[in-house]
Amino acid sequence: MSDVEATKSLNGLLNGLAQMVYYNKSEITEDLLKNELYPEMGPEEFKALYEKMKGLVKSIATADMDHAQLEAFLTAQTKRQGGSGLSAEQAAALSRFWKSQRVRVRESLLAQCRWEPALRGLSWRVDLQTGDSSGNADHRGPVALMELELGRSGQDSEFVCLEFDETKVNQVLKKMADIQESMDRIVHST
Amino acid sequence: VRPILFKERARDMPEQLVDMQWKLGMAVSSDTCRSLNSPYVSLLLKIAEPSGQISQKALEMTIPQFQNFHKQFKEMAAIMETV
Repeated sequence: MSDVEATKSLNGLLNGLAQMVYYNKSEITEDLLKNELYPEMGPEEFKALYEKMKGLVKSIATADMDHAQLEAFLTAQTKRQGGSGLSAEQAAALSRFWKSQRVRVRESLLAQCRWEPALRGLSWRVDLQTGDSSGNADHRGPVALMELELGRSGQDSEFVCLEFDETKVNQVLKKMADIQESMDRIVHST
Repeated sequence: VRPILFKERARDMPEQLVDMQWKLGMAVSSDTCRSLNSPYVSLLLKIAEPSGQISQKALEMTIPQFQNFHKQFKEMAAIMETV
């Protein structure tokens, strides 16, 4: 494999690892990566390369390394003797990979840490009730209907539809103002 | 006024929000990421179904998501005042 091809394959391997480990692409597998990127390589040699790169990517991601930390880490890896060492080209590939994927990997890790459902979507409308079937005029007034789309990472959405009169809306707004105030206080004290 | 996309699923039987509790948290660290430093808003909604049964729904939002949620609520309130 020429240097150019080796770099291309390594870039592909690192991206493939990100897809598998962080971006939930279940169609990408270790075998697929081998067949696509390193068809000529012996299975044991590939396994060693795969595990080494996977371990390095995970270490970098878990520590959320910045530029300085990454360079120090990769330099230390290139100095290691024997099979666990890293070549300069491999270190460069890892550096490029992390520069381009850091934000996306971090977002994926954050999403994995959110164990409660997230608010995926929101829609609402306001109706004007003009009365009900019993001829009771007391129920006139605007009514808001809000549909919340909730879901955990990788799972189907659940929909919740809530009805609010003006009093209820104002109660909720008051609580939201309290939340905003709390947030503002924290920002100012840090 | 925004276009409304309501799917059939829940709109026929809207529920009432009985109570909303909130929490402002900071995710510090996890087994997959040692340095999260991620603030979030956590809400616990107490909801009354048409049958009278009370259920709870928890949800978590990032700060920008909460701010958008707040903004939408304010818009909704503003429209209710004019109707």
